[in-house]
Amino acid sequence: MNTSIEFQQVSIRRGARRVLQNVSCLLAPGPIHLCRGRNGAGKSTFLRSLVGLERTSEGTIKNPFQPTEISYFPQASAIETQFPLSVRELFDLTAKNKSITIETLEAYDIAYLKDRPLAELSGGELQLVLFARMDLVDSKMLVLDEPFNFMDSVFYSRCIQKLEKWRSQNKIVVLAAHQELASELSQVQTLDFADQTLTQNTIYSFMSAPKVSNAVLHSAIH
Amino acid sequence: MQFFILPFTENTFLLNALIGGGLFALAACWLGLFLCLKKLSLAGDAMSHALLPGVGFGFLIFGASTFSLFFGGLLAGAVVSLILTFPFDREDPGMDRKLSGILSFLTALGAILLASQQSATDIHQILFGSILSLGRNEMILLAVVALVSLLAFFLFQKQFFFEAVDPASFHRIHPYARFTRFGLFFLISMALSAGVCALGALLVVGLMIIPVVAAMELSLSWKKVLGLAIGFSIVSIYVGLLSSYHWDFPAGPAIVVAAGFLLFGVLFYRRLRRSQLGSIAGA
Repeated sequence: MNTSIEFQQVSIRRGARRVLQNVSCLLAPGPIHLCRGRNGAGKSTFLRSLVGLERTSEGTIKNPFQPTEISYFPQASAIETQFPLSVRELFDLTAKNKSITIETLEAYDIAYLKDRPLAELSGGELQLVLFARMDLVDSKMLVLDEPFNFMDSVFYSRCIQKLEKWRSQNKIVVLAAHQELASELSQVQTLDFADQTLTQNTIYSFMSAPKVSNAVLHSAIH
Repeated sequence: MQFFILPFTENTFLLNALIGGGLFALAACWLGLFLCLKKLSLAGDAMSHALLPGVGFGFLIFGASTFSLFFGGLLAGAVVSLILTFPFDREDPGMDRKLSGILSFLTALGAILLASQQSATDIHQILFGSILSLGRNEMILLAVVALVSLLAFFLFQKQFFFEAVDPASFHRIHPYARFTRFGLFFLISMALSAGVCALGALLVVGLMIIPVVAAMELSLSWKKVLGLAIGFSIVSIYVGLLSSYHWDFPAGPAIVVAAGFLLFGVLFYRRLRRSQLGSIAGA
């Protein structure tokens, strides 16, 4: 069974403007796929098209996954936060049963948030809750658009660990981030975007534990 | 005692009004909550006006019975729900303005249909209701609608909540997501159509929205919000009916005015508490 996604010369238009131009790439299980690039370079459109939220105007996307097999973490939080719902109730909407909700909250060390109303979460807490929400179902592909906004270093490293966990479970993990985090992951495919297109696409492997200082790795890459 | 309780024990029509209003509150409160959650509380108002052509149509064809009003309203409600689900769905950024245009058009259309046939009293009844003359049929209708509405909530609350809190994911994952959306709007128009006989097309949405708005000021748990909203509705109905009995106010408007005062009271209480908290924090 095919478990990778392939883009063949994909372009996407919004009105007269091309928001993605001639992108070809292969996303296979193995490394974490990290999209980089400046604001407006096309990263978010690329991610949305992976999830099936964009209609291609040229080219094809070979996507073997059902919508239910994909978890998506959108950039601007799509959650209505001024909602009289607690974290646990939010999770119960997605989780198969209530014990999964509790297990997931514990796995992220946020069991203390379980009865907190969404409206009373801080920005970083909300991001971590939404991140953990992706773990409620056993997806085959996880797509994350700027998941680390507002997170402090503790939450951030917790999420990095989870990315690595998903990677080791052979799930396809694709994320866009402004942080320089390629060096913190053990295996990365970087996808560099500029001017609505993919300019470079490189695979790095770091066999050792990725806790070496950034500077060392940077010099190793370049 | 004589002032507060006796009117209801000595006059069946007042007791009927209280029970009928309570049944409507049961049917409406969770729907009102979802209207507020989906930021469509104003659309709810427009929706109730848009039921008018249906009500007028029912009148024209089947005459002035409760059921012709209800089914006419339900028909219009189905059309409005379809409009809200399909051509102008949540992805359309201009939905809000197009909707207000279409719904105003429907209101005017309703006015024409009503004007062609009915006497001024009938029109007055349709617009402002006649909660003081609820008969057997009206009570049965309100009871059935309350039952259907509550049943739908208990069976599908997970879907309704998911669609409201995270519409993007819900519509991406569930192929039948639009039916959930349609179902919610249809239930709302069902409750509104049934409420028309009691409170009239102009006021009915008041009793659906105001208690929920007040309750949402006081709690961030939906269970508490719903409990408070039902309590507020019943208090408003009671106070409205009582004042209507003693001082001859029109009953429907008196109920909505009572609910409005309750809301002002809650808002004032919140303000007071916030300023107190502020002074403590400052000290």
